[in-house]
Amino acid sequence: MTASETPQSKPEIPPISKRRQQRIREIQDLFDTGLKVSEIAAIYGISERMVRQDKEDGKAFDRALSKTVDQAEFLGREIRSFEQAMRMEWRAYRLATNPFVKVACMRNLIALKEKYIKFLQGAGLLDKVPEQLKITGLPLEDDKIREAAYALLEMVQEKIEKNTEVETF
Amino acid sequence: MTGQGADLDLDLLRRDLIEHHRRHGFKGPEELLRFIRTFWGLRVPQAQVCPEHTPPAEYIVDSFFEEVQDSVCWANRGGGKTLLGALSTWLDTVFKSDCATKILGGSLEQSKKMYQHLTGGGDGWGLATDDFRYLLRGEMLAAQTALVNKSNINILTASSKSVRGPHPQKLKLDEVDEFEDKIYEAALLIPKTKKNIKASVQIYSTMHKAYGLMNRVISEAVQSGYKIYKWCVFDVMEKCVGRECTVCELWEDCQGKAKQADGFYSIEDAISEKRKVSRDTWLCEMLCFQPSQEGLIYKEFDMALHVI
Repeated sequence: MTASETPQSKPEIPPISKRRQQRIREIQDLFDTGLKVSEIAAIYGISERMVRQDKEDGKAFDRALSKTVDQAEFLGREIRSFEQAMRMEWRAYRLATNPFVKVACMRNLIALKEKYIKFLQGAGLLDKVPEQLKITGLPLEDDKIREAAYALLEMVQEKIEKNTEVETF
Repeated sequence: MTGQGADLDLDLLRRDLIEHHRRHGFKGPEELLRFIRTFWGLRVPQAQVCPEHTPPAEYIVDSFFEEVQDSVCWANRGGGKTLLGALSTWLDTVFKSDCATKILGGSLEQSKKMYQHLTGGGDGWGLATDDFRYLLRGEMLAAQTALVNKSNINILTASSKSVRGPHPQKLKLDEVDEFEDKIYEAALLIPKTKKNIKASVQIYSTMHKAYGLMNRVISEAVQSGYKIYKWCVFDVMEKCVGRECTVCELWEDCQGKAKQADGFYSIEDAISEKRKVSRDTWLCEMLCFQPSQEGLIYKEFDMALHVI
């Protein structure tokens, strides 16, 4: 494929009027509720072809909107809201005189902290060390691997037996 | 960082091994016995100690691989009959689909012991460990323990009612010397071959009654087609190491055989028991000789000799 054959990229936001943008959103909502093209065309008094065109333009509009999301800004906003929530909870804890309320605040704080950490790990901003090394899906059909698996379990068993009294029948 | 350090999850490895054997079975007796050792810490004695007896491991292997259909395990007290019965049942249930087993105990206590070997209650070994719990369908009950592979176990006390009803493939009769003749006869009609699993009757008992049912079962074993697995206290005894034979109280019966043993029965226990019981009881209950004639009015009475 030569440069001249490269397909023309679509404009980021379709050049459409605000009124039509409004109609596109409404039509998208109607599609989501399960209406057919013919039914939507009857509601707006437009052709079915036009409804299909609105649907396509709606997709392009959504794509363009997604590009406007600034990841760093979004993450920053979320971090700020987590920290704000935790500050407020700390404040509530300090001001509380009832011990039960204090305990409730502490629980909320712990839950918030856990969510915050999970959020940061999910966003790749915090490294996660595996809590367990899980060996699964080993090809146990292979005699040597099965042998090794048994040897490992026997080793553990032996260690346990050394630490406990040997049982009899 | 929330990491708590690395831990090796052996439970998953164990489950993978169970699943492997559920799909592919066992390569042979060694692998089966190794599985038993690894998963339950059970060392089923394999050594041939008394030349005329059978090592218990041979029974487990023959039972699982269905080398023998009907069998009688004649063994000493504390020789692991009930446990091995529970073990062979659990192996069949876990690794064979659609395998139904009915276990009848000679007494309520006996049935309870068998059930406890499965669940781990009381003094039971606890064969249905956490590793196998995922296979259970519903709760484990003595009356019915069902698995996801459609296999099940019924543990009942021998009665005229319990011998009626469904026909599983496997029937196990524990402590048959305590059975009534009629119930025993009716029970033999229970097992039926189904879903490629052969019908089988397996009997476990000591022979402590001179003219009891077990005596009859053993005498008629050959014509009934039962294979006899017989082991005595020396076949299941722990290996004798460093003991002086000439001063050992077991020498009279042992003659040094325990040096080859690889079992679990404590030598100290055996010595202490030998001291406590009469020679007749020792020979009958621990060495599996012909039953004691203690308590009979005429000890010297012999059916063959004195009945025309």
